Amino acid sequence: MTTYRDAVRTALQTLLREDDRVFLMGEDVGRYGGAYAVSKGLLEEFGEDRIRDTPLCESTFVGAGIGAALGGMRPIVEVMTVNFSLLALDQVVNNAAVMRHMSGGQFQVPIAVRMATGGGKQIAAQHSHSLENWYAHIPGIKVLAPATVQDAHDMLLAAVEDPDPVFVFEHQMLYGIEGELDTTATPLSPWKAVIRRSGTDVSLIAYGGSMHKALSAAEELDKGGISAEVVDLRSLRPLDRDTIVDSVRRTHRAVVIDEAWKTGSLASEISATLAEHAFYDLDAPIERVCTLEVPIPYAKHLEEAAIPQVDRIVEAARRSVGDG
Amino acid sequence: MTLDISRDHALGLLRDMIRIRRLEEKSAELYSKQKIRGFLHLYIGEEAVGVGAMHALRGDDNIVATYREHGQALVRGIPAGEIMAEMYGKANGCSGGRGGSMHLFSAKRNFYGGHAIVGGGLPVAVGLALAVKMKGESRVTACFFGDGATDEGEFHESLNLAALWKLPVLFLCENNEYAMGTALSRHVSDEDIVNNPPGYGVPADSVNGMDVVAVERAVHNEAELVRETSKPRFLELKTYRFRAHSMYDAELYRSKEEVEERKQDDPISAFQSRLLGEGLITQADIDAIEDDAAKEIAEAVEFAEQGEWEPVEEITRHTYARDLS
Amino acid sequence: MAEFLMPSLGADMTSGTLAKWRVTAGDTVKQGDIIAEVETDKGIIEIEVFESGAVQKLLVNEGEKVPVGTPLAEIGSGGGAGSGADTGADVDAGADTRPGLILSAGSSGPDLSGPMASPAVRRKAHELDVPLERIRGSGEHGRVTLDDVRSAARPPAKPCGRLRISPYARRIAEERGIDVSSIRGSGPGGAIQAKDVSNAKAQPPLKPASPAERMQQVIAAAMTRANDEIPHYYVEHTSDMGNALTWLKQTNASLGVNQRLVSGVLMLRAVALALRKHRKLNATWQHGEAVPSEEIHVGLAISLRGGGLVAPAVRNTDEGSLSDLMARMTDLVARARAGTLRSSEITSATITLTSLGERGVESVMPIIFPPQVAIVGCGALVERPWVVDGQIVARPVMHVTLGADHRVSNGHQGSRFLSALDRLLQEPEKL
Repeated sequence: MTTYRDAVRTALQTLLREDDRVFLMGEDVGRYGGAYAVSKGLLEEFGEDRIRDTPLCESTFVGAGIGAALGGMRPIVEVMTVNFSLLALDQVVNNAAVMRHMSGGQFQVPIAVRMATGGGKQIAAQHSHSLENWYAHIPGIKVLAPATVQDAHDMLLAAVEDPDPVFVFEHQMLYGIEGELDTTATPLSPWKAVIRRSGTDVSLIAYGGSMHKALSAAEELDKGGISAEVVDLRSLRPLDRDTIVDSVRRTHRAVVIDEAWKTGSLASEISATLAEHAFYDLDAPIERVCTLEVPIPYAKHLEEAAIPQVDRIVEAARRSVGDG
Repeated sequence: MTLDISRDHALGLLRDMIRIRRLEEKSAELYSKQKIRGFLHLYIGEEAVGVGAMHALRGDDNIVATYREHGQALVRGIPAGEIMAEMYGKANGCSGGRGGSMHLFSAKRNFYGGHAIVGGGLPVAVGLALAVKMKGESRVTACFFGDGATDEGEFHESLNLAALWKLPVLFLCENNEYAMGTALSRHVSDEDIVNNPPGYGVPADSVNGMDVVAVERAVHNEAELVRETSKPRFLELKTYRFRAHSMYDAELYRSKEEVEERKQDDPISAFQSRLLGEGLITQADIDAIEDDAAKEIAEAVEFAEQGEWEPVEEITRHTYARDLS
Repeated sequence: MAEFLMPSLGADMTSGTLAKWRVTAGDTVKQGDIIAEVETDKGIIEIEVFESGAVQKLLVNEGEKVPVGTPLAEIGSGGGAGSGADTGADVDAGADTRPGLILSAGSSGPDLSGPMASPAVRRKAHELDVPLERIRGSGEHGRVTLDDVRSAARPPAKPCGRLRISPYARRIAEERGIDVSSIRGSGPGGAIQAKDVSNAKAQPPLKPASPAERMQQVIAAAMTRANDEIPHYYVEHTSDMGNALTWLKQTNASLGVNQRLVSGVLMLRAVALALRKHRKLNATWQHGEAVPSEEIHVGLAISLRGGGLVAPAVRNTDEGSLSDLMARMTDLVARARAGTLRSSEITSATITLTSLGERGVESVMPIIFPPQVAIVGCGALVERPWVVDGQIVARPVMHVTLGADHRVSNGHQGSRFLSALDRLLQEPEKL
């Protein structure tokens, strides 16, 4: 069994060993070993030239990653959390996402940016938010959200190999989870959603940290005779519309789970997509289970109440099938 | 002090300044006639900066420029026709009609574009220099930005990172005394911009940006020092824009008298006078340059007029390497 | 000859006011000269000329606001001055030939402020009572077009009440030929879901229905809808019909057999007169709101042989003599049973009266016919012990029930209607 954290590290090692153009930079990725201990030991193996501790200047080190990518390198930039990444949004939105298009296809930005996202650790309103939908909004970049140990590994490899800017969101509650890691198997395409559990009565559509809560909710629903299907989105941009719509065409009910705030969320996007493409297959209103519209509070009971939990997913699914 | 340059060299500098001036004048006309749209920022008055700097840099050096970049683009070798077609929004423009006046690009000329977020190009230049350094090359990355950019956090972050990592970046500050409409004294606490970079360990110097020869020499010296030491340096180019910030600008923030006074310092007429005075060139040389420039610009307009529009079906092209839909 | 045009200085600049001419006709200008000042949203901007030559004519006066692209002056390619060189501000009649281009002239000119629109468009806007200023023009330079006016005049679509059914359930019902109006939903808020459709029996397809069957289907659909959508309330009153029957007996004694009145006509008239003061019950439900009816057309529920049911309207039930009303009622019943009702009679009722007295039932809890908002039901006339002046006596009495739509009226209002109805029945001579 391998942890999610180790799976990311294994992918980093593979990339650094196999491609001279690859390097890692970010705050505390070297000596400290990474805020979430992902890059522990890499400085010793690869040296300061390729494992670069940056000053605390998100905009400029992300921008420098973009410049290095333009200059032919394959940078991997770690931003400690999505909240900090807001300081670099200018570089992401105004440079990384547009460079290829604005130059008429002359330049490309093959950068991979990793960052932690999500709540659950009682680190309050400046370290706990889920803002990946902001990134998923932007054409010109791609957004991945690995939920499993295998995906944590495979998606990073894919992100670095991709010719376009790819943003990988690692839910901070997942670094410690364990699972099987097979580094020899042919990886699934990172851009496709997968059915993590088949069911017939309702589709639970989730990604990242929420995907595991959806799986637990499906177990719970099963005890009450409701067969729930769990769709793991995996790629947030592009969204795998076909898999989402096909699932709902089978179950006729959808519950979308998203740790972002409901207003303007990916859950909104998926709901709209279902309304557009599965309207005549819907047998109940689409349910959304999202974070309450408050900054994430510190106190444990409040934080738990704010973000989606298994019981709220179960309730929404029951309402959907008419057992609520 | 006499100019210590050859006749050919002098003609080359003068020719490029006149080419820029005429390109910009034609652009203003075509903007007024709605052939060119969007924002149009003209380089008139600042030609000596672009020409001197671009003549000093090597062809394989990286260039990152601002949204007032027609001059640098033209001297770097992007044909006037491709620049004009880009401003028309035509498919034969140097960015395929997707960039416009503010976003001229040329991969084969290491011209990494006009950047229209003030200060946004600096981190990119730092990254380009990082790539150069990691690949063991000896190319300089020259990054143009205005005085307004020195207000931005990215300016200070970029100086710090470039110095910390010893990256071969040449920071070229085109100080035209106004951040759009805000005068230098109203947007920086210390008007002497060269005082900033040494705080980050970046040597800084200043040059009269209205003197093309001085600019060329200063940029050449700085660039070679950057190349030699693989450390960043900073050069302020003191200049002045004669035209409004962009076309739709009533210039409420400066007086006509001020502009008229500064126009006495026109980099082109000043250089012409010097060259004529020293007998390095004749009026016939100037006339020939003007004739060539007029012909080049006329052909550029024709190239743009004849260009095709990118089919709307192609609109999502170049968003990703492969179309996602 | 070249035209010097009002320049476009930005995508958001659609027009400019010529603030000042720096030249007059006859002046020689060269490329790059500032020849005019234009006032824009951003302030005064000096305007350069891109041609060299003599100014032949100034076409626009100082103070005039014109759209981008409007010729401001003619610049001759030669060096000579044009005619009228000494009167620079003497604008030629050119402006008159382009009236559509002038946005606002001097103070003496016609008031053309507001959006640009042709006279035909202004006339149409006036006809349709649409304020032009509120319309966002879709034409060139924001010009308001006829289509803009028409679409601004169109009232916004109102939502109308409809069946709560999931899109999937509706789709499979259509595929299986199931009439969803007869299905009771088990989903949230009574919504019909796929499983409700699956549980419903498919209607025998293709077998042509008889007229009576078709009528029954229509009634079933209407009643299901009424029951699902209308929040009914009921109030009931027992009326002493003694005075009415006595008066009827006396009156009929002097009338020929064909002209005799029946108690039903008294009830019909009494309901109509009571409605005059209770207009809320005399209405129809349209697009989510009750629309009161000016006229009173009481529909009479008539059962047909073979099980059908119709409720044609006795138009203007509150008007005319009782004999006339009796004749109309008799005719209506006859034609209903003969199947020769006019369609207007079937659809125009504003309330319905149903009487099941003939069948012997004492009271009825009727369901409203949509889109009406009330229904009156009468039971049989029966003799019952009744207290009159402190004495128990046998009197003919009748249960009268009002069923009404709670979205439109309430029980208090319904009770007052029944009281009024009762008072009218006590004074039959006034009917």
